[in-house]
Amino acid sequence: MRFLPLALLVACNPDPYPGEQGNILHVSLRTLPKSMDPPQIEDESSAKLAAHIYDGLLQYHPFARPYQLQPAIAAQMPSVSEDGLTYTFELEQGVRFHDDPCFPDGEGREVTAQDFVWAFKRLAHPSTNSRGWWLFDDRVQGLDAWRDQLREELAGQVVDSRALPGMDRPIAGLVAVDDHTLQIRLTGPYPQFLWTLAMGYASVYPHEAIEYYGDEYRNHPVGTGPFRVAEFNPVYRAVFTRSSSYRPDHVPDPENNPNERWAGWEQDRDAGLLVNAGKTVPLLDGMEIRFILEDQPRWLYFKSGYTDFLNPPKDNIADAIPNGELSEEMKSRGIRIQKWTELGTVYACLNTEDPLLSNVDIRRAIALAYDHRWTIDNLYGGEALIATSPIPPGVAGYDPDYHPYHADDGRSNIELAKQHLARAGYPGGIDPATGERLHLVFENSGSGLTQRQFSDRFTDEMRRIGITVNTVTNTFPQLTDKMRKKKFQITSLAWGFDYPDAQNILQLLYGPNKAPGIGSANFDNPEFNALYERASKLPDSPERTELYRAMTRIIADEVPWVTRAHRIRPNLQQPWLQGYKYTEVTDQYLRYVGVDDAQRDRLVAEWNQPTRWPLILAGALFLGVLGVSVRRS
Amino acid sequence: MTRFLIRRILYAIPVLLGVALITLWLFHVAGGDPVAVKLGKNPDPAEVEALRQQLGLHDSFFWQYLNFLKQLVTFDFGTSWSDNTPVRQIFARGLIPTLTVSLPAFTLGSLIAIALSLLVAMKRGTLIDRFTTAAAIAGISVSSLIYILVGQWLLADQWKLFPIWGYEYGPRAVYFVALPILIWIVLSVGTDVRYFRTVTLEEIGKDYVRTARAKGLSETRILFVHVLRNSAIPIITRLTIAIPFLFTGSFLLEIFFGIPGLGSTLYTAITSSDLPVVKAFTMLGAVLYVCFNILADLLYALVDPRIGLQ
Repeated sequence: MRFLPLALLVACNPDPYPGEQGNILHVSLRTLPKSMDPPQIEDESSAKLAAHIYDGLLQYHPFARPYQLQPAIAAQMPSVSEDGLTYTFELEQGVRFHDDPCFPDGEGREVTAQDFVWAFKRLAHPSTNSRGWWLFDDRVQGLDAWRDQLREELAGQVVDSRALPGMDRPIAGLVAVDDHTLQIRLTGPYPQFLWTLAMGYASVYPHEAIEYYGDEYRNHPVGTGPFRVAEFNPVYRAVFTRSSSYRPDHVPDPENNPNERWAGWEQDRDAGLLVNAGKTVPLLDGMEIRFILEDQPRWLYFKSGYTDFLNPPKDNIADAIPNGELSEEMKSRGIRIQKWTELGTVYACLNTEDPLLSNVDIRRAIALAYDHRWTIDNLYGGEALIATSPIPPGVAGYDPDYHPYHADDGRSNIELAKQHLARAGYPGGIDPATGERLHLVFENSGSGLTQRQFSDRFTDEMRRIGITVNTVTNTFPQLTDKMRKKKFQITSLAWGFDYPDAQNILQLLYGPNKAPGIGSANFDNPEFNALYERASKLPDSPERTELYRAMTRIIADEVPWVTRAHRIRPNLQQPWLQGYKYTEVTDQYLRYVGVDDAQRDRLVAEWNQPTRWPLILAGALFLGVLGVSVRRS
Repeated sequence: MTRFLIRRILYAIPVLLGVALITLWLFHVAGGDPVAVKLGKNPDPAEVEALRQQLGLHDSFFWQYLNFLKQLVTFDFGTSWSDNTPVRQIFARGLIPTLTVSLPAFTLGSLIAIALSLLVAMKRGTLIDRFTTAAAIAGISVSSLIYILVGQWLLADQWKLFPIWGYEYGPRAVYFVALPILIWIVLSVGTDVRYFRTVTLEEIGKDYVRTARAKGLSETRILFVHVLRNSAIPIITRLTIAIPFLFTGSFLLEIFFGIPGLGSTLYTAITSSDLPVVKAFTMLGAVLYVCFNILADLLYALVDPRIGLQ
């Protein structure tokens, strides 16, 4: 009972930001960031943080759909040589790094082409354990040779991260022609090249910061973005403040400036997304980003108005968006919703080199027994599309019509599945050689409820065609280990696109990429490989789209994956949020977002009035018990 | 006493060596691929090999074990495989938030449990006893996750009496840790009351209590001076065993309430196969466990003169 006075003392004020409101955006992330050092920015949260700190040569247009690139630090889109292999970028003059103690006078200096050359070399350096090397792997003239030579020279040595060896050696494909001209020479056609330059890996940052902070740079990033880090606790929150040195930038103003129009800008205007058109960016004084790992507090935080937008957790979708529409409670609070289909695919990955699953008829039987409709209705609250191929809608090559081993209605086709099983030599799921049932091991990643529900359902579906399934729960590293060593049969995975080009997901099924590479299905189909190689040399064109479709038809026939779903993502926004159009591939769009902080203060106070009677009741009970005890003693 | 201490410390050495051996072996058998943790989803096979070399994964098990022991002696477990943060820094960052919750919760919870158990033991068979015992059993029977989910939803979201999530360093921490502490106490009191009540009841039936009553001592004095002192040994045992766990906190409370402490760090490290962090936690736990066991032995001698330190 001694805690009660303490609780009474601190209770009655649920506001987590007393005295801290203002023109600040409050955001929650569901995972912990690992690093803000560009070569390490792989995970979702790190990328979301980095989007506000860094800029690269190019960035995504904040409103245009389909996604479209525009210059960031580049003054305009690059000029490309006739052979398509040399890209020349003119840099915007006067772009400065954030002010930071790493500079001699604490004032950020101007960005030059040499900074990009240095940053790209660091991304490729063998001692950085870069997670983004794949961007340039076998793509830039001289870069692989430089990297291989360094690896050989540095084998077994401990390298000082502040002074990486070999950074001063020239590379033929990365040339700073002058302070404001950067030339990149590719080894061959790379149609996705410009998309990759808009990724966090390709950000620019000063060598002074690495020399000053060393390994600690991951917590002290210095970039050219609209915000700089004021506080960072990697297990709790990041607080950003507006950078005084951010380059001139403004919210696109298509109404008054025809050069800034994009297809469909009128709809964005009519939806109220352009209320801040023409205003200088960033619109905010800062951002406060909290890492809220559990669904319930993340959801309650949003409901109370303490975060400004949220993709609602799966278990709260039914409450917030029953039947696909906002609930009355949400509407009464003025909350808005945007929905889009994710740039990604959830799939069951089948190891095609497994003795059993190398039989295509068994794979087809598994696909036919799988009930897509049930999964979508029960695991995604109806908010997903049946994935008939790896390519989601909105990406060239999407083809919902070819699905020989998916029923039209997405339900299981048990009879046909059994026929395929018989054709595979296992009638009724029995192995004639041993007289025993076929047995599969399903590898789960994590012990989350959704994973367990999916594996339980999968087990039941297989039981219906005569196959028994044992589920093994793994941590993600354990599962990765098994996949790399090809020691698994089936697992459930999801792929989120790094950029909106089907090549990004089709590479997972390209034969040379099989394990220990990223192609965990170990699918190695000569016809598919030839199509992939042809497509990888082509720019976005009807011809390439047709090649992508041909590849997805092979996947549908050969079933290395049972493509499950493209999730529909709802995004809920508080009424005070302005000009917010969710962009899935990057969070850079948040620099074009504003908040009406007066409205927020008023509504948050209104929504969070404490209920005092439980405290009064508890206090009365406490005093009553105390009184009785004193009297008796 | 010095000889006793030296002997106990010497006994502890094989225990710690054994814990280190089992920890390392378990990670070898079921830890997953650390390279996946460090290099992400698109690693270059040559880089994978170089990193394995760098992490010493190609070294013999015995050599890795020796390295582990060296880390233990110097308490330098290197850097986290997940985000390259030095393990020492992780501990320094998380210790205060964890103790801000666990220490007051443990202290208040233990005091409440001891007081309640003495009360119900004194009132054995009465309505208070039956009610408290029933409430304790009911409390134990419900999953801790339910307390956390319901507590957060009801007290923080519906009644708006506490912050839903968050933490601040310094005096304002009280404001954020009040609800986690309250839930911790509710979670722990049930089990403790049941245990302490049994211990106390055993003492209350003894002759010296009857003698004390016959001499006319007040019930309060009998309970809090005589019974409590004679019940102290099992109570000390239980409390000292619990103390090492205060340093690892409650990962559920920390994750749900946004306390940036060691519990949530340990949970994240286990799920991402972050061996350096898990190794450090395991060894810290083992060292604390051994230390508090020795402390318990010393306390036994202090509260009960019949026990000698030999």
